[in-house]
Amino acid sequence: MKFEAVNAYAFGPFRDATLQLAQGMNVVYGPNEAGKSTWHAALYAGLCGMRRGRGQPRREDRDFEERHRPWDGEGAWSVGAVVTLEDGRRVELRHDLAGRVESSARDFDVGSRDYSNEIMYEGAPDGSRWLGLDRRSFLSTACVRQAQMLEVLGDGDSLQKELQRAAATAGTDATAAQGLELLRDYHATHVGTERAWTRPLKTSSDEVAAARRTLDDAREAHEEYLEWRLQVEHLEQRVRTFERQADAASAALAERAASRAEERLSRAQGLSARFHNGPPRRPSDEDHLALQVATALETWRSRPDLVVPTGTTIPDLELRLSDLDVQLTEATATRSDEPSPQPRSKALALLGAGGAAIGVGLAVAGEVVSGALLLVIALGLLGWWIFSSVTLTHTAEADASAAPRERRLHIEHLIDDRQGAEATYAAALQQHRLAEEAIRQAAVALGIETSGPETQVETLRAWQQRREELMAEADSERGDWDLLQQLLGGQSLEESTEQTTRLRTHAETLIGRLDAKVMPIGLNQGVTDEQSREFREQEQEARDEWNTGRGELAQFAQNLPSVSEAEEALAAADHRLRRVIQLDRTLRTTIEFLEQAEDRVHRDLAPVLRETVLEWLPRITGGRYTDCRVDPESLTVEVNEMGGRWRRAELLSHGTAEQLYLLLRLALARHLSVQGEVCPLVLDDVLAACDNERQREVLETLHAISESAQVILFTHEDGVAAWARDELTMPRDRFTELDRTTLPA
Amino acid sequence: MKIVHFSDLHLDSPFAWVGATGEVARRRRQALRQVLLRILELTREVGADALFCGGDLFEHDRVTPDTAEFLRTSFADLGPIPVFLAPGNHDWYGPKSVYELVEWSSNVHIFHEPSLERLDLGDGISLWGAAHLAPANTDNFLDGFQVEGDGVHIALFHGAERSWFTAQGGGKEPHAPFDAGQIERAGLHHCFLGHYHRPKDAARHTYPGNPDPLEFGEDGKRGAVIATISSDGQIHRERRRVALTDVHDIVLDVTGCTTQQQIRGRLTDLVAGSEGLARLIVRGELEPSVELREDDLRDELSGFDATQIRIGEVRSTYDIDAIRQEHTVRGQFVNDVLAADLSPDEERRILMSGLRALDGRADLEVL
Repeated sequence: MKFEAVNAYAFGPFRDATLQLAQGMNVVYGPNEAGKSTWHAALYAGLCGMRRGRGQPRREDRDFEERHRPWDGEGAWSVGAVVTLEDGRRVELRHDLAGRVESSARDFDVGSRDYSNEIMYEGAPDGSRWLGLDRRSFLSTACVRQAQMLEVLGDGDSLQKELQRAAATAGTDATAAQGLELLRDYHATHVGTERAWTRPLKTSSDEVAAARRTLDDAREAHEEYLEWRLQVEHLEQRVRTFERQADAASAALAERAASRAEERLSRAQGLSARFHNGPPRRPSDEDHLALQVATALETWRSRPDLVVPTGTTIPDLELRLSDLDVQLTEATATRSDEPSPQPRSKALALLGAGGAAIGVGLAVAGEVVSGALLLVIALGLLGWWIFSSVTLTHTAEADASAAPRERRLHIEHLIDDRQGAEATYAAALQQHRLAEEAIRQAAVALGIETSGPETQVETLRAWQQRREELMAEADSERGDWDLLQQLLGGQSLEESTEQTTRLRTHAETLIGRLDAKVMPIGLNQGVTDEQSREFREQEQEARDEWNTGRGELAQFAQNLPSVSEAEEALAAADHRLRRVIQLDRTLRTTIEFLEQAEDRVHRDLAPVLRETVLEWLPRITGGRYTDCRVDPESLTVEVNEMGGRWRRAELLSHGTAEQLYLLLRLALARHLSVQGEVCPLVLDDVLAACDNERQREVLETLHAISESAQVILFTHEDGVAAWARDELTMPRDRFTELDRTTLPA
Repeated sequence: MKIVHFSDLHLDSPFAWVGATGEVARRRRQALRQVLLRILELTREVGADALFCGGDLFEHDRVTPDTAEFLRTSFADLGPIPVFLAPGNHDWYGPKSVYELVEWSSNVHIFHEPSLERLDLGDGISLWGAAHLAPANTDNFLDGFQVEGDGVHIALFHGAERSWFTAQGGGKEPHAPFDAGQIERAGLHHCFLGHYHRPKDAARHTYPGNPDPLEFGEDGKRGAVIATISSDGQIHRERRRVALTDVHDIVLDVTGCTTQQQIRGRLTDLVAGSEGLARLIVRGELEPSVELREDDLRDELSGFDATQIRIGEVRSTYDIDAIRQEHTVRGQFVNDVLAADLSPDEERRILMSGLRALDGRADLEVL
């Protein structure tokens, strides 16, 4: 590519001004303020235009606009260039820098042919695209500034960096090494390693591990909670079981109590109906009559039989005795000292007779019981005496014919017996009379008017029997009354009824509370109070255990970590870690790709640089240096003094180094441009710091370079202008002198 | 008979999907409870005869004691209106399940058999319900099932109708899968279902969808379904929104923004007046010079409870085609990256990181 002309239609101080350029070497000379920088900018803008992006313009674009807007501030801001491409096309570029709409790239010979689409870049045609460059890389590839030249001379590493930068980004930005360093630094700071405990990769990993442990703990606690809750549920079921058991027992007992109360009440109600007037009255006012009747009847019953003495009467016996005594008197002399044979029997008879008399007396005196008792004993003694006497009498009589003594004894016995019998009879008779009197008195007491003891006795017995019946009946009534009182237990019937009702209600309530699991099998009627108490105790124990479990569970639940929150914390930590891991992967892969690209480009570039330098090296060094090598890793350039040692290019003399630098820029321009195109070199006052000899050497080199690449040199150096006037010849070369006076004030 | 049907509330669900943690997530979980209260209020308001839940009422692995008590009291308060619950794969029925451990009020009926069991709802309507007894591998409830008796037969369970499965997007497993045709063949007039979060009113089955948002990008009219069941088995449905949470999908086009301030300003305008949960998708052409950081975007979204930021089709205004033609390390780098077998996202990140590094920039982390 070669510039033919630059057209400043409306650009800075220029309006419809043109800078014509030759295909070879161009020197544009002018003093300060003659417009060199403006033409330099117009050349750049005429070829590349300006980006047309959305939104606010970039800062460099704003700076460019500020500096190169038309000074009159009116109308369009427009610049253009005519270039010739290696394929023979001549293209006129025109850039509407204000609106950036009317920009175009038309064929200079066939005006209707528009090549804009071939070179559209960032919204506007960019002629550097034909070089394989763009607005930014064209500047760094094609344009050489004075400062760059000075830097090469002043800094031993600058040439290498320049080459590296050019290799990396066509000189626009950082070198690949700088980019890699940035990436590695960023990785170290924002990722780190698993061992760098303050760096994100390690801290994020630790956070995730901690969050995962927290989640595991939360899940475990949650599972434990559910298990615990299940156990408490079992405890509750146990309570319910015992409760049902105890309730069933209570209900059974209540049912039984109610039933019993109802039974008692029913009996009490039945009995109570018979005792409207209170408790039954006992006929206690007839007791003395009953005793009198009973005593009289007993006296009557126990009266002895009346045995009328029979046989010889006492007078007869006494007569016989007298007779016998007579007989005995005769014999008394011989037997007068013999004792009475039966003194004890007589004493018993006398005791009996006395006792009977006293007994009757007592009875008559009103002491019926004691009198009757004494009478009975007395009659017993008399009976014994009579029995003995009769036996003896019979024995005496049997022996009457015995000897007179024995006969007398016998008669005495008989007399005794007779006396005894008569006494007995008298006593019995007395007793009969007493009995009759007692019967009579009893009958009188009862108001019985019948006559005759037998009838009276019968009447008394009938009365006694009826009274006994009445007494038995009264006793029965009393028993029922007592039973009623026992049934009521000191309560009134109403109170007992109310109590029974309460018991029934209570029982029904308890039964009603029993759940369906209990009722089908019915109540255990045989349950005891003791069993019921045991059930309640079991229930209470189970309830205590349940309550303890519930309390502990509630406490546990209060401190139960949230699984969801733990999951969210883990997700957040995991998100951070994934971000770091992604950054790690991105940076590592980027570094890998960049290292690989750097290596490859350097290996491609190194021979290009060497060939270019070798082409010119002997010429610019007067044959002193004949060989060159470029390290493909670092792009370090070294030259070799024929057969001598290798020297780094930047350590050569300034003049040689400057020329070498320009050669390397040419090589880079060649390398960075697409195949078939050669990028022009635009130099801005690069010779300002050179002495005359070095200027000349550089200019000659540039002139030589211009054989293959268009060279456009802007300068204010008079020496350069002089050289140009002498050395440059039209039409291959061109010397243009700018006139300060042509610029507006 | 009128019923209110809902499902897939997922009480105690984590909100990691939106990046929420701590208090924000707790507030969202409280909102889920409020949604249930809304459903209960709706049930009273419309005079429904019953409330149906088609499963995934809560999440078994995460459910808290507080949630269990909340459910117990809430359903008890609804009494005497009956509540029928059919446990799903997230709230499956088991010995340690809340369904088993809570002492529910008498108006709550929980299906707990792995096969459909029948309940008489009155008015000649029979309700068949079943439960998931495990978090996975639950068989088709309708396989070999046939209704018994006359009248109207409806079913309540948690299952995946196969033809609707693909429409659910990722993340759903076909639990208790069945075919829609099985419903009619089984003699059922209608199935009230749960599982799919995307709502569907089919001829013989209804998916109410999750009543409150559980992820971004949900569409369809989700919520509670008020269903009137006629004596001939016809179902008339009306959907009611009960959600409390607003979810926003915000697309931020960064094209034309040359500074971070411009992007933030554009985002501020976009989200003005919005609240709830937000997913921000950034797309467009991003100037290479613009440093776009996630934290800066989050600042502009601070009015939301929780946010998620995703990078959509963000293209750098680097002219990649032009750079590819450079005979430079940069050109080589771009060519090598593009030639590598990388995912588009990975390729974008690496290109941006590398080009930024070669530009000498410090913001090397690419969103």
